[in-house]
Amino acid sequence: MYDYHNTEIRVERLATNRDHCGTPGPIYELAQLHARGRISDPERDGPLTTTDDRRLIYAVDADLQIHVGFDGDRGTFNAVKHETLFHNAPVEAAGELEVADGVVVSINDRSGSYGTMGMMRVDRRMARAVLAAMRRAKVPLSEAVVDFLEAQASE
Amino acid sequence: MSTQTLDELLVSDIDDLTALPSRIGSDARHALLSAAAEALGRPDLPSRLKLIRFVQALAASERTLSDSAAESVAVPLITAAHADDPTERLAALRCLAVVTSQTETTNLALTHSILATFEHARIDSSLEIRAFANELLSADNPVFRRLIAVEAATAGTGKMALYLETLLDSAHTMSDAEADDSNAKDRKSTN
Repeated sequence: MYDYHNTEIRVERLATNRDHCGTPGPIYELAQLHARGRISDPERDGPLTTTDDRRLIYAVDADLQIHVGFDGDRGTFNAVKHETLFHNAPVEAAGELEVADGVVVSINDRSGSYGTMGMMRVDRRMARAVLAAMRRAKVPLSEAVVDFLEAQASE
Repeated sequence: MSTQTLDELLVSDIDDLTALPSRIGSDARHALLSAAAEALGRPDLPSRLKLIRFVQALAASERTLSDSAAESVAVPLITAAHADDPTERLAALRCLAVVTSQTETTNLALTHSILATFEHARIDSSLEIRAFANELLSADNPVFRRLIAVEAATAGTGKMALYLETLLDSAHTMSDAEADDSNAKDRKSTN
């Protein structure tokens, strides 16, 4: 599990009002956004497409639920950050998702809060958790993402 | 890259530090990695966890790390992997795993030191650290395979081969179901 709660990084952020564990949201359960084979945009009509200005961050908890949110600016009121997604709980995985026309086309393990950078390659438990969570939530994934996750999970 | 510049960078939030490596060139990343490796040895460092995670992000952004870069950063990470603070130990082990996976090293002594560090972590007091070390030392883990490749390429002492035999022996005495059950218990205990 990747922890944030008991770290000096959280202590530093709390001291500077840059911790976002308490942000209420919006946070979305990815399984709930799935409709007709696509991920729906929770804030606009139609399938979701992420952009550089609307980056989607994700985290997977111990029960393999995937929560997502649109990455906010740290330090601004009610910004959603990785630690927001499960309100400070340890996670199995965290990173960013790129979604095009309702399909996940890219996934990474970049989370400063949880320190997951590069871990998808070396900690197969993380890749397995992401793959299992995605499958359970019936998240539409591009072939490239499936191949990537399966390779990381089973190497 | 001066120490002063690194100190200034370390005032930034870890999110910004994590994003930085993908925004700069390879030369700048190497310079930062070198400065960070040196800083890891400083006892007065205010935020060791942040520095270790920065090193991890720098290493993860590189296609491959040179032998010298890997050695400069691996040595202080091995020390950090034996720190009193379990959070620092786990962060150092994770960072060391990423560095190892990004390095096509031929340095047998360093490889054995890394292996010994992972082996030592298997008896750590922290369940999470033990579980991670067990994952790293699985026969088909890419980090372990990388370590074995060094042994093969350098005609080493056979330590890895012996280790593999031990792993295979334990695999015969522990079924997959038992192993999964054991991992699940480990994970639950850390929650």
